[in-house]
Amino acid sequence: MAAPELRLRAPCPGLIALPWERPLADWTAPEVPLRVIAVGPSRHLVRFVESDGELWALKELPPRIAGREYGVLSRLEQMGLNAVRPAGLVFQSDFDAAILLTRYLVGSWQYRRLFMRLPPDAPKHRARLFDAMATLLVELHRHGVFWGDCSLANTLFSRDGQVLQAFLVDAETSEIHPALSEGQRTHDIDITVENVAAGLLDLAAKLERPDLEPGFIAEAVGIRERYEQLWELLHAEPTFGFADRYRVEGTIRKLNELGFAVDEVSLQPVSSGTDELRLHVAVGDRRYHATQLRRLTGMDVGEGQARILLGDLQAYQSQLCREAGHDVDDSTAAQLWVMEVATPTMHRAHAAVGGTGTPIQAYCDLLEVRWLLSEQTGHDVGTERALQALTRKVVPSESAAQLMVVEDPTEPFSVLDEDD
Amino acid sequence: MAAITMRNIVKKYGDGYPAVNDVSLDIADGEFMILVGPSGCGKSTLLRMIVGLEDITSGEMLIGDKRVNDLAPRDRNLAMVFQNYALYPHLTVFENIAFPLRLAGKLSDEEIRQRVNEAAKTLELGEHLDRKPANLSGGQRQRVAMGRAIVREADAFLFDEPLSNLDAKLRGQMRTEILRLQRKLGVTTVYVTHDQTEAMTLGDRVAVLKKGLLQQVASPRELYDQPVNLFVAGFIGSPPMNFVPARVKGSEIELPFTTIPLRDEWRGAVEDGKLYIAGIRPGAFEDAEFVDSDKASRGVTFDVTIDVTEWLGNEQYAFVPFEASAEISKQLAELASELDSEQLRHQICVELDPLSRVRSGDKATLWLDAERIHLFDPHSGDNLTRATESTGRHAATTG
Repeated sequence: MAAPELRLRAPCPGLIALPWERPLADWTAPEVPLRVIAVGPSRHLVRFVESDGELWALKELPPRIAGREYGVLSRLEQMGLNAVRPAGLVFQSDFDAAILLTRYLVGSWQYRRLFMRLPPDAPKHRARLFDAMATLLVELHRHGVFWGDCSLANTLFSRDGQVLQAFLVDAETSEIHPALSEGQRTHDIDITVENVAAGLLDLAAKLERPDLEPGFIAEAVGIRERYEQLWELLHAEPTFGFADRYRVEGTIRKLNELGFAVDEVSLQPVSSGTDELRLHVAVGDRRYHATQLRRLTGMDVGEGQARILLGDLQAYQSQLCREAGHDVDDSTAAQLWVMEVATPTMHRAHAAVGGTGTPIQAYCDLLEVRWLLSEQTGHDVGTERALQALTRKVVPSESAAQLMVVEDPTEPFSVLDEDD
Repeated sequence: MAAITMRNIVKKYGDGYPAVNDVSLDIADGEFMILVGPSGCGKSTLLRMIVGLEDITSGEMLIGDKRVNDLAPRDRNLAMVFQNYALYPHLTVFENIAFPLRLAGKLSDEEIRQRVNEAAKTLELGEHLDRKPANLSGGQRQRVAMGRAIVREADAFLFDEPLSNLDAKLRGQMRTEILRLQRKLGVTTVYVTHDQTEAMTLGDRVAVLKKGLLQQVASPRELYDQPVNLFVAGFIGSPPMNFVPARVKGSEIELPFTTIPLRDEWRGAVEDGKLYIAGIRPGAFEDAEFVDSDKASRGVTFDVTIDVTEWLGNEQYAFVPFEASAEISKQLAELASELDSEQLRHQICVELDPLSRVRSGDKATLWLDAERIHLFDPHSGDNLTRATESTGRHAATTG
């Protein structure tokens, strides 16, 4: 027997001890701490192992494909893109096979949970899902990544404030180029639309709800539009006269509102002899609010969460100014907000939702519920009412806070059935 | 269905390196064309230019008589088969095939039903249309995925290394399914692979590429028997063609282990006294004991010491070391790197009758079919003894 060749990025003792000399299909519990997690249809055998306090996904592939996928995932990690993180690669020359090891994304879930745990006819929640997918595709594409098989089943989601973050799970068909051609981008969207539509039709069949089909198809087709809007916004190169150059600011503000940092703007004359300029914006990471919040408070949170928390911080700052009768500087306001508002309330909110998800997300949910309830009643209902609503799990329908049910339970890693 | 015509196609990336360099290729309506070559030869890039995934730097791409250089992929009416072979467990086989049409929203339910039924008939899935994929065999599931491509009624089918991420058993099954389907439908097909076995078994014609340049386009038989150069000769065939030094002396060719007569028709192509590279397929040899008397006169016999034998049941190979000059060794090393293969060892591989009793270390008498060798120019790599299609003894038998 030829010994397997091991490459582990996380040299945990439990991982090293796994029976790598045997085909993945032959691994059995309790000898191996296997966990059962439904992942939907997959080309290859996928199994999950809990080891060294973490959950790991193991996929068996032909060696050539496994090596390629490992390479692609490593590049995605270097570029800071949303994807599962590669943790190791094991070649089993005796079986002409390889096992690709990835770290299971903590707090992430598959789309089915959303449909199984919430009323299936909730277009706003689905809109969050598709927004996340379109955003992920745009992010991949502007970094030269062609996915090749974007589908609901190949995407993991996690909550981030009132939005969702989507993560690439399967990179078997992915390629990284210096830049993508128009054809590659449109083809990738075509694949996505088709895969998502089929995934939704499958779901409608499972739920025995054929009435949902037309809406599902329309929503899948709508991903293209979501994608194109965002792509346009990031790549538009408007032209205007020199005197109208103030319009640069509007463009930047719009990008910042969507979370994109701006690395550089350049204004180039369209042609010599005219005063018309073409604006080109080099768009950076989508962490504009996250970076700002971190600078002010040291908190490291998702972009979607940071956006909400910054809003709360600003409201608090104006209140401070009003009460003090003079300006309160940003860093003082931020320190006071962390100590007096955010930290204590976030723990109360987390307790109110029974420890589900993270304290930060619970706080974001609280702020959303408070805002929605206030809007309903026509005046500010205050934190206590919102906390009560969270505790009783009676939050406004289709609010982002309703999505907390998808996070429960993520830990400890229980055995999940297909309907989970 | 439609022909695909490529005229002087060039693909250059940012660094100016031509990944595809001046390729002209006519794929006839209904033809099964294979694009093959080692990694980096430009085969996938070429396919992607047909599909519309890569911009064409210069040249013309026509599908039927329509120029498609600037069309988006979905406007080219092509089907990438097996790009998506996920089957949806809660949808019936019918729905698994029909959903891309439903999504496109261009056909009535009745038209969709007709197309799916027809495809199912072609694929022998007719009885299974109401079933769920879980109740299908592995082969049937693959046919469902093919059904998705068929119902689009595309002008051509395109395959980009479709079998490379499957295990060996499934790979063989799928190869047969693809071939059967293409023959049945007669649809123009372009198939990219790095696997020369797939290339030889599937294609009507095979286009061999090296570093972006088209080397030869021919039937599998012609590629095998009449390769244009060392590269094609070395790439096609498994085990690969043997390359040994060959010196022309008067009316003979001296090989490392024997001397064979110089054929009259070669005299014009070679110079007396010069050193060439001879290419000999393992199958041109035999254990002299197993050669019929009527065949024996076509070749020569010689004695060697066998280094190793490999007996595989229905075939048997023996390996015999030989000496080569520094010049020839250098050429062969270069060739090995171009072929993306291991360094060619200084040994010949000989195919023996499986009943042959020759064993490792034995002295053996081998026979060589003197008509089945080619001489290559050691500098340009060109095949100097290639018969044109009409005169080649083996090419003449090409089906």
